[in-house]
Amino acid sequence: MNSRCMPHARHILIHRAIRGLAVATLTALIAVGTSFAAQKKPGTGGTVNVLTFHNDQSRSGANTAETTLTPSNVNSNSFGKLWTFTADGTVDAQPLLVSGLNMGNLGTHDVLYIATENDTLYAVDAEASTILWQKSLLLTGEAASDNRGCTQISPKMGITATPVINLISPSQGGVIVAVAMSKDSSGNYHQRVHSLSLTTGAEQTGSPIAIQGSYASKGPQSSGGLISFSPGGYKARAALLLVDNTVYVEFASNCDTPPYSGWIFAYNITSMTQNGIFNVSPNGEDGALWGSGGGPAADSDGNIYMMVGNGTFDTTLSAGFPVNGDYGNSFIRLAWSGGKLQVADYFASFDAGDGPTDERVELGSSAPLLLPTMTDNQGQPHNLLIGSGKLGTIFIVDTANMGKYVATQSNANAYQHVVGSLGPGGDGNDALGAVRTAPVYFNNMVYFGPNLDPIEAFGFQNATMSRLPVTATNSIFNYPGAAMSISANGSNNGILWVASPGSPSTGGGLMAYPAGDLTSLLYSSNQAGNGRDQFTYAKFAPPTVANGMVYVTSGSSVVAFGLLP
Amino acid sequence: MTNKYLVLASVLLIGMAASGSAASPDKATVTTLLSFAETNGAYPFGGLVYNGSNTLYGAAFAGGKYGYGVIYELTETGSGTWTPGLIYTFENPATDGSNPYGSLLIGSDGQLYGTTTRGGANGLGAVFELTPPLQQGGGWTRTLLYSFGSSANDGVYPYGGLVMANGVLYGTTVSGGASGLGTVYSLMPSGDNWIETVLYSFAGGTDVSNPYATLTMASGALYGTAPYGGTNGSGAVFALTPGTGGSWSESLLCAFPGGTGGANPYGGVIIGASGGLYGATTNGGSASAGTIYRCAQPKTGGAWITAVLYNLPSYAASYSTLVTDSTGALYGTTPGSHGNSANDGIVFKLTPPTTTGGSWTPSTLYGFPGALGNGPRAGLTWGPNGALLGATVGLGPESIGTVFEMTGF
Repeated sequence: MNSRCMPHARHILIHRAIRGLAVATLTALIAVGTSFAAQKKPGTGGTVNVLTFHNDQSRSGANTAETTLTPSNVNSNSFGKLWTFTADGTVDAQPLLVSGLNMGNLGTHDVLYIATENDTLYAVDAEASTILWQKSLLLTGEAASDNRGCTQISPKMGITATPVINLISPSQGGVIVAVAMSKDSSGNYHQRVHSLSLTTGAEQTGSPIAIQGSYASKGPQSSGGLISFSPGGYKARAALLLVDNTVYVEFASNCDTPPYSGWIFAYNITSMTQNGIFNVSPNGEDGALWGSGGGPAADSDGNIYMMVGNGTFDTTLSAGFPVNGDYGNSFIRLAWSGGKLQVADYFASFDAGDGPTDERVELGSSAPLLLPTMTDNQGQPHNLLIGSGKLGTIFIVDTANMGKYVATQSNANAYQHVVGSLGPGGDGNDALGAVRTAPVYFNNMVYFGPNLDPIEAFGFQNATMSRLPVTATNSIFNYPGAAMSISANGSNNGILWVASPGSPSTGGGLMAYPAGDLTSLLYSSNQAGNGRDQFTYAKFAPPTVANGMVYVTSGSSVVAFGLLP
Repeated sequence: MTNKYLVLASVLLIGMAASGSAASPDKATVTTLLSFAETNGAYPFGGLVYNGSNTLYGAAFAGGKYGYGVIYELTETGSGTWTPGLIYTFENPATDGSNPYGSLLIGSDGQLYGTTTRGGANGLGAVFELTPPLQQGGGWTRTLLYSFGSSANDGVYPYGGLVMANGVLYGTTVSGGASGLGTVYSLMPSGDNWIETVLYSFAGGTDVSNPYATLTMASGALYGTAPYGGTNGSGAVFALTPGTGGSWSESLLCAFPGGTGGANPYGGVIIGASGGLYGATTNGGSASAGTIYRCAQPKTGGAWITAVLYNLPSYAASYSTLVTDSTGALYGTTPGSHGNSANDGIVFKLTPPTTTGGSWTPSTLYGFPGALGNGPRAGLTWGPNGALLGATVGLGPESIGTVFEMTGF
């Protein structure tokens, strides 16, 4: 497959770019709230929405309209656990939130949406924790999937990926889109896209739609020139992405159990029809997309950015692109061309070709973050994409020219790369410095929370990242590393919120740091006496921060924190 | 947990380990001497050092009362019984350092020297000394010898341990230096202070970069490895030799070719009986899982040559510095594997050929049960009675590491 943007399709891209810009701008405004957000009074409803994983399409992880929580009141004297909501299954997805939603007869609520591995979606009052509606996404005679012999998501696999919300307005509502995995009474596995009303939980017209498809292939998994998606062989691990009324769904393997490859599906959520399919390793093997729960990013032109797991990368190039269209271990930019998803550009490290056998070089263990436009010391603007994987090397690529693949092993084809600041990395649970959570961005700094390493925040000057962190926590974080979010009021009162893996006795729980000084711990759920705030956090889902509240997943529960009464 | 209970837990673990399913029949017996449980440390990335009489020392990267890591000991109290204890708990990162990664060095008077990857005055790592108690039962005294990042172009983030010659400590940093790609430094005592000097700043490109391993010193030269850069971009074995006026010059002895020739060494080198340097790479080889190599200069002189002695099995990737015995056999560890393989790492042995030009004979002495890649990262240490001792990073009841003794091989 020719993976470049074809010139004759340029007008389509421009058209989509214009549409995408408008939608993305609206989405961004909605996602972070408005700058004139008033101080929330408990019970009166907030103004901030968290509609997607890490808050926006760039995956900044920042809510910059937080007016209640500040470094001065986030401490164990005034801040702590308020309630725990127990669901019917493990909660692996980040809870999402819509403020001031008109729920009809139920009144107006700040609504927290919670998805479970038992294939249930809950709409919960974000302050009182009462259930507004709950909906099972299982069809008749079905149950959530078993773990497929893989304990990564266990004992059940249902809704794993963080859903995404398409909000028309708080008064008009919208839909929440989720992917549910299930198993029927005949033992067949299903993956479906569901689109549900935000206010009632009702399935929208055409919902659900089964995820299925095939892709041209000459590789070892092909049959009749095609590879076909097998629902039982995958899980939707990465967060969903919504761009221009299209939702993008990535699929991960189950513990690397072969055969598998890297599937991306696109669905129009209005017509509930499949827009497109792309496979990142159609003629090779592996190359799953999992992102430790993080999701692909999108820019204002509607380009999609993702980081690919270990899999085949063709080191033989044709016009700069992998000759067989296999993009394992790389950053890729997908765009629509001729009505199809195509790779418009990519970056691959010199060792990308080591996959799929060398799992250490994979980038799929984390997710990309798009930085705001930065200007270099020559006055040139750059739209940069940053990410890191299991080796802990931080890569920054310029989205205008991502660098492609160069075999000379210097990584000079990257805009910038930093080795050594995040530890040696590697595969396995004890690989110090391997990045297995998604980074966040705030106030000209990017924060990484690698496995068994401190959280390190790197600053930018003239569109260049510091080689050493500007600030770092004194503490390290258990496997798989720190899951992070930011709250701030504009550029003030920045707080880094951290879901720390493990039980309280191993340092697990919720932590808060001043965003500019990670050596100071504002709050830990392990500080208050008598275990008042303690809970166990597992992995992947970052804290959701909105309207003076912080929501963190804990097994089958969501724990809410806020200012104490 | 008291020491008594640790020993009891160890005994129970022995049984568990022995009944585990290794990929191949074990040729050795592994006994767990210590299981980490946070309060006594966690994640012992560095290996052990043995004082030659009855005590092993090691560093745990995290855990302890404050979570910043500990220095622990295991004392042989007779008939193969080892009693664990804590001799130092890192408390204040700024004044103590935090998160030690490399192995310790035992000084001439029983002091312990080590590095911490973080902490120190600048949060960028430190070198410390622990002085043994003057009286039995007393505490060890910690002295922070140096905080990295104290000057422009200083090295930062020391992951490797230290070597000492003539009272001077030598080590590496992963980052910092003139190019930000790591350094080799020395620490020289001067009165009550220690003076740090950056002997060499790695430049990357055709030079190597980002060394993680502890150096080896021989005949006044320092030998080490770096996983990146070099002639082929796959890392190299380097040497630093002293010149006049305190200058040191670097040369790349063996640049790894990548591919089947091996790539990306993280462990250090040892000097074999024949004078060659032996080590492990984490990448390349026939299974893309690293190699065991010999880097040596031909007897006739000229360029040093890299020979692959052993292709590590799939998903193995050895990060260890090897040890050898009187026969010239090599022993090493791997933390591998990922979920596709049967073991949480292995201990392997390479027996030298009996004829010139013959092949080395590999054997897996032990496979740690599990499949998550939580086995040993550091190399092994010879203990009493021909035992080899090491540490796993993520095994044990709490999955945060163990210390083990291997016998019967």
